[in-house]
Amino acid sequence: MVSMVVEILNHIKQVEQEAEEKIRRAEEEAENILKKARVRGIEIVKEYEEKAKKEVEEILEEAKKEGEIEANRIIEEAKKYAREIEKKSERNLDDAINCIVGAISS
Amino acid sequence: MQESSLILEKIREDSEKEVERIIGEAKKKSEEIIKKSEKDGKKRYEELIIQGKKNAELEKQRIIANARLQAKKLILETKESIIEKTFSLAEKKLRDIVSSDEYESILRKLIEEAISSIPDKQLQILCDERDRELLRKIIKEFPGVELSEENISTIGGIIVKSKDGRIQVDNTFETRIERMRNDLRVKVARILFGGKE
Repeated sequence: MVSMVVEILNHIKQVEQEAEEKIRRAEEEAENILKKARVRGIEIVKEYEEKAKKEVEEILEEAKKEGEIEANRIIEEAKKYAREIEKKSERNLDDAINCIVGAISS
Repeated sequence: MQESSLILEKIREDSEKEVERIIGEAKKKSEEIIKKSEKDGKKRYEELIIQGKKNAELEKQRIIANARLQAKKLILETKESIIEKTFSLAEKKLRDIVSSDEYESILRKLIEEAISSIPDKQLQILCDERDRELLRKIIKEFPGVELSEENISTIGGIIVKSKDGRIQVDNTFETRIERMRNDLRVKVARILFGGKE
C-alpha cells in the first residue's frame, strides 16, 4: 500500500515537473516573441524614416528646380532692364556730359 | 487511483492554461509594440516631411534671394559703368575745352571763385605751362594777383594760394571733378536714367 502511494506521489511530482518545464519554455518563447517585436518595432520606425528621407530629397530637388527657374527669370529680366538702361542713357549721354562740364568749368 | 488521475489531469490542465496565458500575453504585448512603432514611425515620418518641406522652401527662397541680389548688382554695375563712362567723356571734353576760345572765360571764372574764398589780398596763381601766356593776360584784371614761377600739371584750371602759402584753393578741373563728384553723380544719374542713381 505504502509503495503504491509513493509511486503515485512520484508520478504526481513528475507531472508537476513536466508542467513547470512547459511553463518555463512558454516564458522563454514569450520573451522571444517580445524581443522580435521590439526589433521589428525599431525596424518599422527606421523604414518610415528612410521613406521620409527619400521623399524629402525629392521635395528638396523640386524646390531647387523651382528656385532656379525663378532665379533665371529674375536674372534675364535684370539683363533686359540693363540693356534698356544702356539704350536710354545713350540718348541722354550728351546732356549728362554737359552737366559735368558745365559744373566743372563754371 | 481514480483521485490521483484527477490530480494529474488538474496539474496538466493548469499548466496548459498558464502556458496559453503567458504566450497570449506576450502576443498581445507584441502587437502593442508593433502598433506603437507604427504610430511612432508615422509621427516621425510626418515630422521629417514637415521639416523637409520647410528646408526645401528656405532653399528655394535662398536661391531666389541670391538671384535678386545678383540682378540688383548687375543693374548697379551697369549704371556705375555708364556713369564712369560719362565722367570719362566729360574729362575728355574738358581737355578739348582747354584749346578752345571758351577756356579764357572759364579761367577767369575759376580765378574769381578762388579769390572770393581767400581773405588775403596778395595771391599767387599756379598753372600748367600750357596756360601761362593766357593767364598773364587775364591776371592783369586782378590786382594783387601774380603768376607763380612754379608749374603744375593739370588738364585745365588753376590753383590760387595766398602768398604766405597758408590758404590754397585748388580749382584745377581734376580736383573740381573729385570735389563735386558725389553731387554730380546724383545729377548725372538723374539725367541718364531718369530717376535717382
